[in-house]
Amino acid sequence: MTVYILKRLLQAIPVIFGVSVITFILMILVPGDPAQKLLGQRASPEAVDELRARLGLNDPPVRQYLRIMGDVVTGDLGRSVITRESVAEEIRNRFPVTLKLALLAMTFSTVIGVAVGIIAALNQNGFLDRFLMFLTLTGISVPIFWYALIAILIVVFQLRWVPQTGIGDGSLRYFLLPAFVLGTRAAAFIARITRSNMLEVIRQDYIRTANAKGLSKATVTVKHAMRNILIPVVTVIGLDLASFIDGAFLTEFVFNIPGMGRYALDSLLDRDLPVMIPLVIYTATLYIAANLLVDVLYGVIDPRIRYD
Amino acid sequence: MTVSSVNPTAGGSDGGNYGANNGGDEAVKGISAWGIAWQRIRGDPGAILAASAILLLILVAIFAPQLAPWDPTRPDRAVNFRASPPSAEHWLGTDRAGRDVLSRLIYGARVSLGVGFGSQLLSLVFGVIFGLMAGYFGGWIDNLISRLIEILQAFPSLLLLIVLSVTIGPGLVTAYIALGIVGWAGVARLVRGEALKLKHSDYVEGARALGSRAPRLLFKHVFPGVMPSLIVIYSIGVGGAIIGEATLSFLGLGVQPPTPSWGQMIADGQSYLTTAWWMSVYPGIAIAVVVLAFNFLGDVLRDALDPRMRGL
Repeated sequence: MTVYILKRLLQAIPVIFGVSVITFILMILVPGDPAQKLLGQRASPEAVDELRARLGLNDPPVRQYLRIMGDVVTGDLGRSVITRESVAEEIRNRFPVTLKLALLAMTFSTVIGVAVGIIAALNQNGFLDRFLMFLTLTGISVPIFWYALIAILIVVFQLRWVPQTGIGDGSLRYFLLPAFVLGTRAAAFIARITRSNMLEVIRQDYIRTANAKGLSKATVTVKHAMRNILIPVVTVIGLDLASFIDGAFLTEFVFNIPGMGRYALDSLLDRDLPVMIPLVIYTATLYIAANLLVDVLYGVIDPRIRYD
Repeated sequence: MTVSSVNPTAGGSDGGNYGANNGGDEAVKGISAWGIAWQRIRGDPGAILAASAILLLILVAIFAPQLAPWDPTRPDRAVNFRASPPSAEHWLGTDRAGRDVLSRLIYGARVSLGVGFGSQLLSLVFGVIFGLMAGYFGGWIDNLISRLIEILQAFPSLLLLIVLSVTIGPGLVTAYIALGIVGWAGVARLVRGEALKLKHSDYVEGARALGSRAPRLLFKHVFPGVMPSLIVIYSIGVGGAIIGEATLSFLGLGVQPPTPSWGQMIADGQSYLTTAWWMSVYPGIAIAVVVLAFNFLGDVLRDALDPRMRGL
């Protein structure tokens, strides 16, 4: 196991390197001069030139790349071109917000997804099953930014359960709706795979044995069957992680939540290079790490899986 | 591989035939992947509905100028250049500039479907070429392509989409290219895996023994083997690309005004949710219905063509 993890970590290094190089190249190609942006349109050409030199924008690309990567690795990040805020400090403030949203959304999606999947499987091919499966496919098909808007229209403006969007004083109730919206797609995926796996499991001999010895349906479902559907749930979370991150970006954007996603999106839309580059590289690294974690989790949940 | 009731239109030699009947011997007539797909769709009311919806929408997109009751870009004087609720004149209302929402939806279908189909075709072509090369040749070619796939897939797709759009500059062509680039890695990964497996299968070995050279071998014998999976990937990919395009347009990075697109219409209505809900609600429904149709079709096709993935 340790060998496997080490091997995967080693394999991740060239990928992260590639990600950073591609990000850097794309950023260099972005039209517009950051120095000009910093000083405003009316700045004199001399002033812009001087700032370019001071920011190192006139250096050869390789040197620029090495400097930026040095900053990214040591966490000594610069300041936003737009707001002048320190990037490192913004990340420190915003990361917990996103973490809270993501954990809450994952909890929602797992609980709802597994429940819906089991209910559908126990009613296989019945009306309820078909209805729930159609609902899950709809959940996967709806664009999340629109779904978020509709949720705001209904829950915030019509029902007035929450006074406003954003996170207000940061208390939990402001997170409930966005977390529900963010968790819906994953819930739909989890429900579908839980159902198909459940259908396989309930035909197994040990389930028949459990039924035959007179255990209640609930006991059989919860104690015997459910344990074996955990693996696919982890699989789905792994498979759909990219969509989950995309969803988090858009959810924060529409709900006006000051998290990492909103920060990244704003910086991308403003072409705020000192913020964009580290955020893109950090996000990609996080994504690679999360994928590795999912693979390792397989082994923890199912001891039959061996890594060679 | 042999199915008794063969659809007459399906047994053609459009490159989708199972088995190796390339040389005269017609004794074993296979059924193409398209044939299986078609049989499956015919037998499923839901799939017929989904396919009809897609077909209808393609027609709407093609005949947009004939179907749209109003000019999608010109405001209506009668409603005073303001957002007016759905009425007999404007069935789905007008937006804040007084433009007919229905007409804009009809024209928006052109962008959504065009980018959806087009970008995924791009992904498919590049994915197949690179995937076949990586799987078949192995060695440094495989190494290079595989690393590139890994790197592209290490970006959460929205992030890569936005970075590409910002770099190339927002617009319709950018949407095609960005979505095409984001999609090809997944296709290539799948095709590579299949090519690796098929490389040592008996019929490919046989063709090689008979003196087939690599390009012919790849496209005539290995490619048909991945065809079923590609049909499934394409169907689901188009749905994903439509959402991707809508997301880019929503963020202002896709198709630029005055050309109407669904994502842009949702963004336009975002600030008027309480006063003019129809501006954002209808385009969202349009996206959801189309993507649902593609996903549903993809599901049915996957069950028919790619049993290993069943239930996902």
